[in-house]
Amino acid sequence: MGDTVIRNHIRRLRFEHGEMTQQQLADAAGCTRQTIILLEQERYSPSLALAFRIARIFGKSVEDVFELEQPGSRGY
Amino acid sequence: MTIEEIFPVAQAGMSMWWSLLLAFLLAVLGSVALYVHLERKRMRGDEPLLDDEGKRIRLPLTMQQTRALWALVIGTAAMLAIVGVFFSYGAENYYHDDAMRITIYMIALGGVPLYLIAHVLAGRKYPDAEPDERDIAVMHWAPTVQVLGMTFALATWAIGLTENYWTTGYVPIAYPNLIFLSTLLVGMLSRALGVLIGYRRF
Repeated sequence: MGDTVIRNHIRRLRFEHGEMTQQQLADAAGCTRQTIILLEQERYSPSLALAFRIARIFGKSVEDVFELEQPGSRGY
Repeated sequence: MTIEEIFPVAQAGMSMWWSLLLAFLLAVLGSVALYVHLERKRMRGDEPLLDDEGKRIRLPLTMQQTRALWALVIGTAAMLAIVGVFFSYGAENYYHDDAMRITIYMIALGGVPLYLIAHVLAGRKYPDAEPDERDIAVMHWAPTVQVLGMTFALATWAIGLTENYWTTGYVPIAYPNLIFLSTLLVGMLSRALGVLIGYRRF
């Protein structure tokens, strides 16, 4: 239970949205660029509020941007 | 086995209690470092951050990190300067040398406006920065390290003074001053350290 990983498509979505920079996304989502980098690297799990804000920026639902992955589902 | 065999520093003229205190200090610092390392590994993984081309990513500093770094630099400089004054004047002169006491107060209190200037300058680098959820989580966690540091400093003073003045039965009046100044500095340093560790933890 504790080892679940939240995967996301933020990096791809940024490029699909006019090559939005990490700083632009951070400013729009109300977080720091460091947080965006860590999110893209899947080293940080966002709060629900931040996940909703990011999804809204891309015009997507939270499930389209983030997905919950159980350990073992990607072969580890 | 004698205490000198267990702790070689005791041979350099340190008493058994001071040697034990030093060993205790090192054990606590080692435990904190190990805890931080394991927590970071658990929460962020221990692989380096790499971009698509496999280059290592250097995380940009947040406003809080920059301020904490300045606090650490200024606090450490003040601490070293105070230790330097003690060495140059001689610790025994603290009781009756006004110049020494005033110099120490000036160093300790002079750090405050210096830190405030650094605080404002660091803030100017990030004109639109609002703390985000990680910043807030780090700010909430940092006092844990601060409390630990201050408790540790007070415990060190209490054990050291008690053992040193056990036979005389009283502690010289100058020590409350030093306890206050050192606790103030340790509080500032350990909070800054807490912030910097927090950003590696969260």
